[in-house]
Amino acid sequence: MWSPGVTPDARIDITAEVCPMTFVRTKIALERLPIGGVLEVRLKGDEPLRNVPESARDLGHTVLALEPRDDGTWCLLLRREGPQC
Amino acid sequence: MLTEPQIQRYARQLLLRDVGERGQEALGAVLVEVALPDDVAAAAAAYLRAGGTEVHGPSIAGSPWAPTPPLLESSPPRRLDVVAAPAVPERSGVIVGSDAGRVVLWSLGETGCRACLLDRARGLAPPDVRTGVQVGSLVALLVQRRALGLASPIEGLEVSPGGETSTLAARPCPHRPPVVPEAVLRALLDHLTSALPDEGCAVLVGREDHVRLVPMENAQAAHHARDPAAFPRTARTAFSLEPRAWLGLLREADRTGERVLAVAHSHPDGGTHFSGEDRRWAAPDGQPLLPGVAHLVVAFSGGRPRTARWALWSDGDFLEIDCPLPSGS
Amino acid sequence: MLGATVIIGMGGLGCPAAVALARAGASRLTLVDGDVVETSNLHRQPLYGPEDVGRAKVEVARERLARAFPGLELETWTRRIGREDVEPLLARHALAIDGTDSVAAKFLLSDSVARTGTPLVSGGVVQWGGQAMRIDPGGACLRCLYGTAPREDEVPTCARAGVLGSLAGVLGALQASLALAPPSPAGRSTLHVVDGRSLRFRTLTVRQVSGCPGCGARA
Repeated sequence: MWSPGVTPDARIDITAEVCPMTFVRTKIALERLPIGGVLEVRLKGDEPLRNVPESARDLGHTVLALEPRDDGTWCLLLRREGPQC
Repeated sequence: MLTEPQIQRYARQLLLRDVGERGQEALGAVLVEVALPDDVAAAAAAYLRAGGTEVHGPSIAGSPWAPTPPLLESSPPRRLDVVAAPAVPERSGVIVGSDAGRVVLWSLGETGCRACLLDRARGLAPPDVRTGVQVGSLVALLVQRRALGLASPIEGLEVSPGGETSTLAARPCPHRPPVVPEAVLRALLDHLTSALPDEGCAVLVGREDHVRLVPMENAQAAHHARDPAAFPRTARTAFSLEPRAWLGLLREADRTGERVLAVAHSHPDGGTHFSGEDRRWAAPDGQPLLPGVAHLVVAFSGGRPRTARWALWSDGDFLEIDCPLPSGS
Repeated sequence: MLGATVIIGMGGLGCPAAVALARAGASRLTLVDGDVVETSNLHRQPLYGPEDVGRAKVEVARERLARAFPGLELETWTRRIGREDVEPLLARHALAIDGTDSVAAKFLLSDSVARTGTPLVSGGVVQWGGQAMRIDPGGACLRCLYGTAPREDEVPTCARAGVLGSLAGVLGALQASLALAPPSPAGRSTLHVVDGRSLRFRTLTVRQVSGCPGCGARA
């Protein structure tokens, strides 16, 4: 499903969370990766869809892809950028 | 790694860019010992514990705050002291005192200069606080900044009786020699060597992050030749900076936003002790001629630099600190 | 001495403001908040502990304040106030403190100052920063400062929903100090801005804007 060559280093599923825990989980998962690491986030709902990619960008991380899935959820691919905390 | 209960408790703090998981762990890695008046201590402890930092201090009976211990997985390895003037923290910590009705807070970190803190804290009376919640939460803020690694080596705040807060200005530290890169130090030694058998002299100019050498000519020889009665010593045993060269250097430094960091000279056949003559030159009438400027003396023997020492003005006298020389000099 | 004061919102700002006022000798406080304590509140609302999760905030606050300040008269409202409650509530108090977390509520309170004659200490905290401003009848209001109210859906994203607890303490305590201070000079208000990240504290003078719909300044 992803562009060839992009394998996530870690995956999280935040479909059961509400804001702001959606982004808390995402932020922690990103911070645990080395710089350049890729995180796959499974999410659903309007609010996380708007907020999570934008919040990640706010912190300087890169949105690699955001794709809908057949079951109504979405898959967000994020690359962790520096500085290393 | 944080546990699930910690993530739930500290979620809204974890969202801060400057905190995150590592920051939250850093908040939990410090144990704060608080010795302040009750209502200030209570507020400081309440906010620190709420934020995930363990606090020890006098038992605060009658306080309105919830006695919520922080969620920690292990004992904090580091300690930080919060004290009331005239006490001063032994290492990293915060001092709270009063000065003419204002409450003054100073925070010192591991890399901060304790002599600078003592200078600032001198004359602070024990804290007389009317705004306990204000001062207590400011203490918590300073401690959290320190624990998170966001604070300057020394930072200070002042609170008026009406609760208005302002930052206290930092000043360059006069108690530590400037950090001189090896290349600059070697260039200095070469210059001093070239002046032998006379005393050589030079000036170090720059900012905290960047230092450059300005080699100078020892004007003592010219002074002695012109007026041996007024200048009985020769360039063998004394040095003098040529006034025009000195002024030119100051003007140039002003232009580039730098300042004079140090004056260096050599003792061709002597020790590195900042001699009586050296002291009289540097502080005639008991006051430093060049406040904020460090002095460096390099001792030569057999034509080669052997040892060096800094002399820094502190508290009415010169403090002497060894200056290691690069190997092979 | 300060007359009866109402604190609208007993969250990050309301908690320290209430304690600071009580310590300063306030005799009557009214606490208003419709929310219950949640786990994510605890890091910045230190009147509440983990054992209080699920209980009404004003009930917990009342217990803790009553125990620490026996002479203090406390009234509590365990519901979120509506538009129709605001003016009567302000009218029967000597001063109000804004501890709310919504833009709409802040502007509603600010607009009520001129209509009720009750001064308000407005305030807000987000991430590492915060602001507080005392709005007196005849002084500059939030609309003089901001122009029109921002739309309600301009809510910060999750990333910006972080807040440092100690900073909320600083702002709430500042609100209490402003409540105890003399009223602002006519036609003006002072905006206090705190930045806990750069450790800077600034004040700015806000002048009444003529024709302002919020405070009714003469056009």
